Amino acid sequence: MLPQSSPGFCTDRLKSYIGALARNTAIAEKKKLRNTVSLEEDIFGNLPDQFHQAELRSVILSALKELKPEDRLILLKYYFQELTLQQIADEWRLPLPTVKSRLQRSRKKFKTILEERGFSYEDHLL
Amino acid sequence: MKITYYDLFDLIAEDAGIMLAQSENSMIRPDLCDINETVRSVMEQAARSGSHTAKKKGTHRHRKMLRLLIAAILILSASGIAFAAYQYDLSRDGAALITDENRDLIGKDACLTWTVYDKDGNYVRGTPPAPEPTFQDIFGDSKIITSAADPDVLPHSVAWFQAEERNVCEVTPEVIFENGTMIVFTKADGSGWHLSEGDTLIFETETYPLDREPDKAQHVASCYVLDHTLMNNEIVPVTGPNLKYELTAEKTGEYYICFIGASSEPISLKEGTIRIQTKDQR
Repeated sequence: MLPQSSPGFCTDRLKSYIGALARNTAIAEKKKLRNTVSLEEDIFGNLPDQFHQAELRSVILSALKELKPEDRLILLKYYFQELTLQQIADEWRLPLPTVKSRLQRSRKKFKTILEERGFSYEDHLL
Repeated sequence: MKITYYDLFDLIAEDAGIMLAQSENSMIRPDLCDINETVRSVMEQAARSGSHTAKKKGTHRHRKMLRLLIAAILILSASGIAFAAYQYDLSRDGAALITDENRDLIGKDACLTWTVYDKDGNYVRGTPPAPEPTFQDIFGDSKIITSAADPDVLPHSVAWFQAEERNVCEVTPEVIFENGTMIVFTKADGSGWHLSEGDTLIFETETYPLDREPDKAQHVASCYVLDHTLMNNEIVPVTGPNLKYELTAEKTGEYYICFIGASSEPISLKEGTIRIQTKDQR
């Protein structure tokens, strides 16, 4: 129920409420559409207990910004936009093996940068 | 708790969406979408659906509203544009759009390398010879070029640039390309120009002069694609600033115009035009 009748209701709070609601629901829906079993190469590792969400977001963002644009873009397209390797290859007019090796390289660099920032985790699988 | 790369990117969903849009120069940009409009639409939807209904119905409408929001958010943050423009880089790809970031490269000399071979053709020293790229290396799974009339004459790399439709012709962007790199112009939707036998495709542009030798003639190799086959043509000296290339169709089909850099220095083309002159108009 929208908090329209709540005391102290105002438009700005409504925007924040709807924005957060939509964001979380969108992400939940995305997860439902994803394969339930992650491939080994897509598993990053175990989340260290000492990282809070806000801190983790900050670390991830700064690590991404440190990547070269092409490395960043392929990770965004594969893991955020959830395109397949073939779709990325078609879009960029590159051979599929080239896209695959670029993704592997970018993933490795991203992981290295996160490790350098203190994101140490147990059981790395890559 | 095990975490995947997908989870990491979900955590930064909004920023990821903005990064993606910025990387692709997407026409769908979050800053172009009005959050006030989204809120107003949601409020209207809520008012239309009514608030005093059975819990089951209310839940259903609530879910429907959320799905609309999901669609809006996914479009805003997860969608690239239909024709994402790959950001070519001159040093990496051999060709690029001319932008403010690389405009200083116009008219500059190339940095050449040297390699010494012995009398038997064996490498001695200098820049190690790179293996000649194959057709597959260059064109990959391209749907536009699937074969070459002469497989022994291939460019080192290929870059695709879309022309923009304006009035009665297509306008090609400013591009810079190096020796051995082929640039291919397509229409905005990636297709070529459909010509009937006897029609002529006319491409006109100007080149930027070289800084050190403004009067030096530059050379390009012109070629074209006909029904997915790369057809070689001829070396065209570009004397003076004007470059004009006319291609008369020997048979009906889909054509693309291409140029391969054939000068030691990178060649910079200004905006050009591509138009069709039908057989009857000549």
